[in-house]
Amino acid sequence: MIEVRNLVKKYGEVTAVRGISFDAKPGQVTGFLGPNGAGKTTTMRMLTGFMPPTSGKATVAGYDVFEQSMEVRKRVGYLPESVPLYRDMTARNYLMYMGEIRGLKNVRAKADDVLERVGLTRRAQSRIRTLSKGMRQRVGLAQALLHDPQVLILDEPTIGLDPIQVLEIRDVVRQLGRDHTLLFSTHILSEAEQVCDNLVIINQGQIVAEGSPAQLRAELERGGRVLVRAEGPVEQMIAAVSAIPTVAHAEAAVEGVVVTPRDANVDPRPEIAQVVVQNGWRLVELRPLAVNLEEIFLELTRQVAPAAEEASERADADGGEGGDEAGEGAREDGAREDGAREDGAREDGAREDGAREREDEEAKS
Amino acid sequence: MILRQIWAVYKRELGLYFRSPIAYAVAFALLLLFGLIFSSNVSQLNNRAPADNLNFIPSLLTFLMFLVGPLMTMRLLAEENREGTIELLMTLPMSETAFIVGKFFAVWTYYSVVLGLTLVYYLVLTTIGVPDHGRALGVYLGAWLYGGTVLAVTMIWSAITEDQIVAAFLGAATVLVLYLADLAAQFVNNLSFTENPEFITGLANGIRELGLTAHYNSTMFVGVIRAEDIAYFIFMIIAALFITTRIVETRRWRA
Amino acid sequence: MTTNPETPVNPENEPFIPPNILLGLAALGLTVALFVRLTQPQFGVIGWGTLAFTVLALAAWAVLAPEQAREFMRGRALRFGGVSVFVTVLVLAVLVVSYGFIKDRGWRADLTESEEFTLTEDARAAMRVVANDPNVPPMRILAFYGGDQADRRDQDTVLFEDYIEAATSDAGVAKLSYQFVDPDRNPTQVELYGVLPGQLVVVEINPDGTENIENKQVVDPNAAQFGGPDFQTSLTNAILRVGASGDFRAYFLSVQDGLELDDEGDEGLSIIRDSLVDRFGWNVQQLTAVQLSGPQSTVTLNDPAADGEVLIVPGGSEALRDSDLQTIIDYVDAGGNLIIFADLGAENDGESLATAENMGRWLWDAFGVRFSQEVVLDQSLSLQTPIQPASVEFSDSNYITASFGGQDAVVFFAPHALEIADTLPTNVSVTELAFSSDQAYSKTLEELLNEEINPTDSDPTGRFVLALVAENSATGARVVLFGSTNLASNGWAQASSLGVRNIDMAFNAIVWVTGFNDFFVEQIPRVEESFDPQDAPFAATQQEIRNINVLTLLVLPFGVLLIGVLVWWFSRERAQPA
Repeated sequence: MIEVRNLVKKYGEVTAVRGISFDAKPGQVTGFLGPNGAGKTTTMRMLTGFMPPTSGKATVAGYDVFEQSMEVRKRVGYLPESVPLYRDMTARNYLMYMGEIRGLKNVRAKADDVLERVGLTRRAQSRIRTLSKGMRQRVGLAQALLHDPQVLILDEPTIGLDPIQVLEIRDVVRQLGRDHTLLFSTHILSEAEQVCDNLVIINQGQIVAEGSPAQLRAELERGGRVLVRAEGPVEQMIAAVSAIPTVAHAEAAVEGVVVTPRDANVDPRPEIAQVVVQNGWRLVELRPLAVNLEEIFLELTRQVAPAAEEASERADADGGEGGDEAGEGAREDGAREDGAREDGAREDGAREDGAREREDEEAKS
Repeated sequence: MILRQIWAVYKRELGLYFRSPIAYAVAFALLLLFGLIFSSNVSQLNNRAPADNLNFIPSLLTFLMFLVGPLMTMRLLAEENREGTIELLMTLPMSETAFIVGKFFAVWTYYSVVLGLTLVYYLVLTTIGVPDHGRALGVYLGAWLYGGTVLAVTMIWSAITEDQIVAAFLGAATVLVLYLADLAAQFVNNLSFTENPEFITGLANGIRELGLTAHYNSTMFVGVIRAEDIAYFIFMIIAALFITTRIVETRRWRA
Repeated sequence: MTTNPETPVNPENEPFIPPNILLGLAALGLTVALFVRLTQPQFGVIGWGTLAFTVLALAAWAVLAPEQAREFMRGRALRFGGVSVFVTVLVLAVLVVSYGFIKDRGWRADLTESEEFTLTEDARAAMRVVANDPNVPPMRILAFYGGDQADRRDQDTVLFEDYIEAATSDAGVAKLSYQFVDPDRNPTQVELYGVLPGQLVVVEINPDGTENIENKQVVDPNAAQFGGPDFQTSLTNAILRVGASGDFRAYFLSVQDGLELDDEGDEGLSIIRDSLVDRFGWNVQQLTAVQLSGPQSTVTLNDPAADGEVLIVPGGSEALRDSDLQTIIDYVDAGGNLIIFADLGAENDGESLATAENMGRWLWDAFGVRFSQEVVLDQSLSLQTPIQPASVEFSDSNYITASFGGQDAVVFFAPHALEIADTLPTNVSVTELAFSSDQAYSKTLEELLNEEINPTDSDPTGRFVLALVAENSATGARVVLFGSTNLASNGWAQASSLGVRNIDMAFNAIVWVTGFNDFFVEQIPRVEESFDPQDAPFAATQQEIRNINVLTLLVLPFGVLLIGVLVWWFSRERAQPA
């Protein structure tokens, strides 16, 4: 339903998306996972027709996003990251307005219908500015569902919500995934793991891994890297281990030596143990490495971190909104790396986001 | 389809104007000022001047449009940019043109209502004298087109910046430049360039025709209607709306 | 723009000049070319140069950035990318060209009910005469409007176009053209024509297309502010004057107690003079008999170069010396034209130039007419007093009175009756122009001076001839005799609005004897100012002013404010329950 081939987006000198390709199938929730500033929002904007790709091709529901933008737009429901709403309209009027622009018939009935689906019937007559953040998120979702689209694209729908609201939204997303093609972006790994049938991990505008959560895990375990901790000179140890025929590569790490086997199906551990003992070093630990997605994600996104900072600096210098956003993403990058280990901490951050936004609103009104 | 979309945008925007206290405050301030000027003129010129001399309120409104126009339009697109609502709208199956045209017609309608209210002064004139109805037609038609042009031009700034105040200031400056083009043309015309006087005269005429006043104050305001004046206003509106559309497009392309 | 990350662009392969700059240059070139086209009389070097520059820049762009050019054709870059700036300029260019096209059509309309910028019917009729009269030369209106009078230029263009349309003959030849001259840029022209900035000149165009500066009229558009005629009337009269610019001469004889040409009082002739001079550009002088024919004479009588000539005797209370009369006789015998207004003769013991024996004898011999000594009075048809008998019956065969209608009258002041011989000399024909009523009676001057103005049985009664023309078909001489002098004097001009056509009669006589009416094929239309109800000042009573104040200062603004408050209040109420 969504086919992306070699999609590229440049903002002047800065390349935000560097030729990504993936598919999202109907009846599945495809998770778009990556740190902020990785190019998730840019990709989604291109898929919804908000901005044209610099090059490459993407089709949604069989239509090219650039050449047949209007056809794509008719078939896509989109919830932008910032959930932009007209605050001075009531929820129902807002939905009716969107419906009229979409050229729907019976807009009132349709608006009431989607309000019921997202559980907001009671607040249909309330002005949007009086609704809570979670309710607004649901109004935004209702808007995306209004025309019963084949494809739903939700950009970080859980950001800034409290844990209960997050759970509600995840539930809704899972349900919707059954009968829609649903592309869903997040920077929270656990969320992606829970909700998605298929995961696309993106960093620095490039896809670094793709597959179902189970597939990704299996692939990594199959890779069979092994951590060796022994008491002995590291240099000699690496040389000795590298000499083993089944070992492809060995390198020093903080905890010890990380060994990559030549063939993932052949476990090198017996030979390693043998070599260590033969050399008279004392073996402390010998175990397979990295078995949860969290580590895969960290591993994959950390490799290019220095490059990311450089890019963000350039984006800052570029000025304008695009630059700001990229810069912000990069700045949050560091925070994320710290917080990524603990979901709770991240959600604290998310709540802070929410609080900040509420302050903004008060200042405005 | 596109008409329905224009209508939907138009309806919403117009509703906003007629619910917004600022719109009423602006209309109040204008009408109070007009009332003061009109009533004092009636007392002063009573039995001295033809009624036509008092039919100047629309031209006063067009002059004040350099202040009022930006106030009316600054919100239109700057707010959508700021709130990010434009992102969603631009992913709906609606062209930017429909969106911008709808907004423009809404603000033009608001202006037309204010202009329409000044017809009260004209009705007063018909009770105390014999104003020239044909001339009044020119006065009002011109003021209507003039206002639309100012609104369309100031809308460009609303599309460029997110900051309403900046949009208003730049809009006022632009309109003032267009208003004063007449004076600039005179200045250019008085340059002593003896080698090529035709060039200077042509330049001065060109500058003058770019301005707003040459197409209203000297023709439609006195009851002469010229095809090129009407074309000027309509083309200015089309050009301004076209540029606005380009900017909205470019903004999202760069966003 | 379309390079993939797999094939990164080598910086050394980048074009030397960034393609977007080339597009910008092309747009700039196009803008300048358009500006030149629209504002300059000739496209010239700058126009063609910038146009060529645009084409070159575009070609360079296509060569240096072929991918962009391809994209442009495909449409993606049409809406996005640096090309969109160029597209915008292109759209603007199309609009500007359309504007120029529409401007060239010059479609205009005058919406005003008072038709301020449209020719009046009178002026239109006059222009029709100008257009179709072969004797009227082509003319040009030169408007000396400076840069600060651009408003006037725009407005008057509408009027000028109307003039030109009206002055275009049935065959499609325009007799009129107009041109704006910037006085600051053309000081020599200003000096040449002797105008002030803001004024206009109507000037004759020679057959070779040059302007005949000898024959011009200056028009001051602001004359109306100082009590003069409005702009359109002044301009129409100026056009008529230049158009009617044959060489016409009127000589007024200086005589004892006669009317003076330069006298602007009631007994003066200044209105007639101004009509002839200002409107038709005649050569008008007042001369003594000696100046007419003596050795120091400044004029040539019976000048073949003149298109028309007339000698006017405006009264006179003394008989002409025989030598002076002989000058007149010679002049008339040679085909000259003469108009005599008879003086009553009250100042000089009943003697007057017109009724003097020598004058009477010559008129009787040459034309079979003469002034009688009797003075005509009338009680039944007169203005206020019997000594001002009026004539309401006119000849409709002669041009002089042909246009007078049933409502028109001519008032004489103590006129001498005219006598006509039973048999006229050969080749002479006489037309009676104006008569008294049948109840008129005549008295001798002596009786009149004794204030005997009521009729007695001995007074001759009947219908007296008060004005006539005599024409000698052999010599072409035309003589018009009027029983009294007051026909031509300023004092009676004001009465013309009441249907008293005294001055018109005198004026028409001058026109007819000189053949000026034939010079302009048709009768010159009278161009009068129109007065519209829109020009009247408005009038409001004190009560109305109070009402207006209440309406405009309270009801209207505060009504709007009230509605605003109500709207705000109700929308606030609705927001609350949420």
